Amino acid sequence: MQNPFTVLDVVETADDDAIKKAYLQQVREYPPERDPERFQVIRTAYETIKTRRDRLRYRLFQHKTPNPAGLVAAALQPGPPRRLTEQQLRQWLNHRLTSQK
Amino acid sequence: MRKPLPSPRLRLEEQPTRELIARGEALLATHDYKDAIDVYKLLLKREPQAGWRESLASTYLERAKQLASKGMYREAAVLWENLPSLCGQIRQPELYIDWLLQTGQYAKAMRAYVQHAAALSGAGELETRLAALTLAGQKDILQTLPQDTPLRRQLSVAQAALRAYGQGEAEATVRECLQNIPIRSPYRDLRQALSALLKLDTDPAGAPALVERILPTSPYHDLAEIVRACAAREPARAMLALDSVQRDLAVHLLGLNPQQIKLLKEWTRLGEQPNDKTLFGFITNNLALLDQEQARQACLALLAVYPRGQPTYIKLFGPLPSLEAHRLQALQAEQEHDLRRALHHWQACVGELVKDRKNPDHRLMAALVLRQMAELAKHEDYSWEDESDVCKYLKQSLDFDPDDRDVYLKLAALYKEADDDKEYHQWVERAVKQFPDDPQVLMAAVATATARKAYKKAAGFAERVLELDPINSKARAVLINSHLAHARKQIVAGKYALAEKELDSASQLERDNARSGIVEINRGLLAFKQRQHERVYHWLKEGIRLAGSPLLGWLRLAVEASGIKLEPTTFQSDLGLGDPRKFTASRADLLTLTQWVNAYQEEGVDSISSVLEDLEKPLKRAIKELGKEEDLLSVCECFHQAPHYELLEYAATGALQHCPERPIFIYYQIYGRAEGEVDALKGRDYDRLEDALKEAKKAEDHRAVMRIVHFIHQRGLFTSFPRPRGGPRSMPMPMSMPPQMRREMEEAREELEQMPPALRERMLNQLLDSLPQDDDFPPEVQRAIMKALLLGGDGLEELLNMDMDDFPMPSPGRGRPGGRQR
Repeated sequence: MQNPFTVLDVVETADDDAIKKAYLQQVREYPPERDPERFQVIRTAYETIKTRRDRLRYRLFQHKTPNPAGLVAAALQPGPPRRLTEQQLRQWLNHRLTSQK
Repeated sequence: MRKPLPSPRLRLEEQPTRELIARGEALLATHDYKDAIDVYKLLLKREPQAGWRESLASTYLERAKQLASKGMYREAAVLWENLPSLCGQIRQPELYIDWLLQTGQYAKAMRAYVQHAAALSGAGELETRLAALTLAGQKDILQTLPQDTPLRRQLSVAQAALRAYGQGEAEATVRECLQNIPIRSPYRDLRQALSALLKLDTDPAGAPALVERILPTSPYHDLAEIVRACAAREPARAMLALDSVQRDLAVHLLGLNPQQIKLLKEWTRLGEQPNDKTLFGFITNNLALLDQEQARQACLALLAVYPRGQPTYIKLFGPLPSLEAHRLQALQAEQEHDLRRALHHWQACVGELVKDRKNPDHRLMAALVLRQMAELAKHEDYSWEDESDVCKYLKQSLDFDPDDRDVYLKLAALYKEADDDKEYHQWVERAVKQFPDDPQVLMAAVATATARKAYKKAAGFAERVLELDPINSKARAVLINSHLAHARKQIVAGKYALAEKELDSASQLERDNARSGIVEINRGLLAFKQRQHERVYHWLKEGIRLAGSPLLGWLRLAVEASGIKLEPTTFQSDLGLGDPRKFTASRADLLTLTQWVNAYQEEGVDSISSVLEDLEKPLKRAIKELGKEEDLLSVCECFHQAPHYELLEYAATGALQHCPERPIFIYYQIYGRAEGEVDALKGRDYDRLEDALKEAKKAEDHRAVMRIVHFIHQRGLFTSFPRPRGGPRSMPMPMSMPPQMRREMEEAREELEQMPPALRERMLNQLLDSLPQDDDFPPEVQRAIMKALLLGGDGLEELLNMDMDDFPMPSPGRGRPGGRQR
């Protein structure tokens, strides 16, 4: 399970209002009709930490293996964007077209 | 006699033409092109018909496609090459050219491209591939490209765009180059892919839309996937789906540094579902790159499933606070199903939390922990001899958090199940005080008030529910019943006008589509009391009609009549209902009857059993027809509550034919057979009940467990001591043993076992001397039993095998072992 606070992009001390706001923001970004899988993750995260009671329950009883994808994602903050070189592109195209033989 | 030999199958060449035609068609229909080719070749040999030539051509082409779909492009191309010479036809040359390209036969492919240019149709995909090969620098293709084709004409603009992007020209310059590539060009996928790559620099979220139309068959599809991964919210996760070549390009595009690339490589090596140890190692090894606090939290969460990581955690993040240490131990114990250890550590957590009572978070956490403890205790505590641990924990939790409605209702339900009416009603009352506008609480209040025959109170609660929730049918039914109950009282008291008024009120509350005839039947009975004979049968007939069937009508009439002290048989002949034993009942009638009986039972109507006596035969016939498990469950539960033992046993026996091992049906059958009396249990049935209890516990069928335990503990606790199976019923053990006591006994036994013999003897004697006096057993028997229990199985076996005469049984006046008085 992904850390619901990371999924909703809120701090652990966020209150009900802040969490609801973050949830609605995420739903606007990933509506269920466009990205049902992501929406499900967002929904589950929201249900897990919706109220103070939920948040404390999560803090006490959460014992599933955490999914550190968010943690890794945060560490992989892109540097200044770089382009592919002409040679890289040609090589890749060649590889792509000949690797199917 | 020997079997006749099957007639030998004719060889293909020997088969008549008509059969060959049919065979060819059948082979085509089943996509068996390989054999179909042989058939059509033979047919053409016999007679060169145009139709068969056509069929052979189609068959060749389909077979070639079949081979290509298996990746056998070379074989497919060879087959296609035979097509023109065999059938004189050229079909779908674009496929042939594609198969040549797939096998690297570029020169040959280009010759075919030039030769069949006029016959190429829908060659967009082929041209996109040729364009990509041209850009990749395939000389065979470049040299043979016809001058006047878009492939040749637009090559230079495509190369210019590629160069501009690859050499880091300004965005505007690259865009200008890209705009020179027409939208219908064979280089259009390059145009889209480069536009998306450019967009990654300035607006990554907008990039994927630009590659949306690149088809999976396009050579640029892999590049589209790279764009999508780089633009993803979590590129790390998206990159798991890329191959290593794609990932290298993505890493370059994202501008990751070498450390990040190392982290990403390690992360992708973990795969989708790494084990807890690997994950813990991954986080702790890469701590320098990760957010410290989030990494700590992830490690802490992992400790619950990977306790061996604790020393590393402490080394990296410092010692665990006492609360955390106990919490992790409790979670670990839960996963190992060691409930006692889990409860111990949770209790310690509560202790830590209440040290700072003023902290509202700590108070709420203490309440949540206690509720968790109640959940755990539920799994091993089915005894209600004393107040159960479940209730104890739930009540304590309310001290810290009195605002959890469900806890009040849970407590009420637990006490109701335990037949502790006083506590049940009290907890509902407390819930009403705390949550006066909660329909669910108010409905619970309606139920308790009805059970106590406080109809006015029940109606008050029901009215409030209807204010809050106007479509609540249960509340409506309660109000109707309340008016009916008043009407009955007034009829018995001879206050007919008031009774009529109550019946009018009940009638007004009934929905037109849900009239059950109960009001009309009561109007009929009121008319009888008023000696208005012409109205009696009008209303009664109307009531029976609305009831839906004579059987249901009779049930209503019989129960309502007995409610005002009238005999239903008074009306039987004039209503033309006939003998109730001859009624018929459908499945729907039977299920409606269970609902009505349940409702009467809740109201405390005591004439149900006798009314059901009259309907026994038709009900048995209807039960026999039932096949669905849930129907049988409803019927059994109804007769269990009513109670009607014969029908219960009958229904449960029928249910066991459908679900042979379902514990709840075994219980219903035995309970019905023993007429609800544990003393009437036969030895074999006791064994079956014990087995059913084990099964129910295994299947977490709490209802069955509760029912069985209540039944066998009806006369005090029987403990699960070894006794010969299937033999005569052994003597119930003379002492009740709630789980707590059993635990204490086990602990004492363990302690004794660990002591040296001399000390054990002394300690045992001390324990036996401290036994409280028991009215039912002489001290020596009591000591012998306790000694056997504390020293283990052998002594107990010996004790149980002793001649009964050795045990002076208590006199009847003093109660039986494990008797009710206890």
